[in-house]
Amino acid sequence: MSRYELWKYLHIVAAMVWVGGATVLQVLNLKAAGSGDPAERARIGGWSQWLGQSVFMPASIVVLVVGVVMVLDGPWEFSDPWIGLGLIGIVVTVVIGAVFITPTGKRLNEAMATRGPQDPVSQQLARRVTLLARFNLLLLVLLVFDMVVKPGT
Amino acid sequence: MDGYDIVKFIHILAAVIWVGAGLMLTIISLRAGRSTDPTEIVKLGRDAGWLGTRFFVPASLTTLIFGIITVLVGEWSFGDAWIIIGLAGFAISFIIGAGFLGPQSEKIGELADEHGETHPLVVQHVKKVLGVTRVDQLIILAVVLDMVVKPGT
Repeated sequence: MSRYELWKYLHIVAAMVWVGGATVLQVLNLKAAGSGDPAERARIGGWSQWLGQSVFMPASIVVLVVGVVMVLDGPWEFSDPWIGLGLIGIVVTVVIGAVFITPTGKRLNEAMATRGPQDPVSQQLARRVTLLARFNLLLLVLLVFDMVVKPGT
Repeated sequence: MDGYDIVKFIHILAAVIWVGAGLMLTIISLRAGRSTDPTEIVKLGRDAGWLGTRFFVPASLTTLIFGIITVLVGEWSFGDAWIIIGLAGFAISFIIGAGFLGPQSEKIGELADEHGETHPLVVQHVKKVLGVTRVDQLIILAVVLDMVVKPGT
């Protein structure tokens, strides 16, 4: 196994944790919402905040850093269109996660604890977090498409 | 972009979702296992059982079917060493899933309903299932390595 292949493996496994993890979290969110059980929504909501900071953020950094190393170590150029698109996409998703989803998730957990899950403020924050997370997931799927198809090559 | 790119994208996206979701549940289980609340890990076990036939089986079968189509429409052969290893790894994982993880995950709900979520028998059963899940994930990660490195090419 070459050094480049090792980078590629790390890049792909980190992307799997990020994209696959975000997908299963959305599925469990849908299940919790469908159950009508506020405690269930709060349980999954609690995971979301912890996972955002402890798993998704580190995984996205590994994807980005190792991806950059792969360009430096492999047959690619930063001027390749698919790499430019990929870098822009990663920056956008990380910013959405750090600036919008994580703080809104914190406010949601606080609102759940102080006002209760049925309060209109909690409900509105829950809808906002879900919408943002789904938009981010869509961007991630488009990023995977860009990385697989490599438009412009 | 041609037909090969599309089937390859679907194959990789399904694999990303399948493997990443499994890794995410393992990460959550490590946290739940350290929780002072024993119901945390049992609830996660119930989630895993619910996801089995609704999420993991469809994602893994999509990975397999589109992997086979990728070989048929691409420049690969079923005699290639890395494809044989990949199919063998998938078969082992499928047998573990269908023969053990599926039935035993369903049993979590039955045991929890019968004895209660805090009963030591239920907690022990969940830990056994999650232990086998980790072995299964190591096999799948080895298959991902095989797909990335493509030994024999």
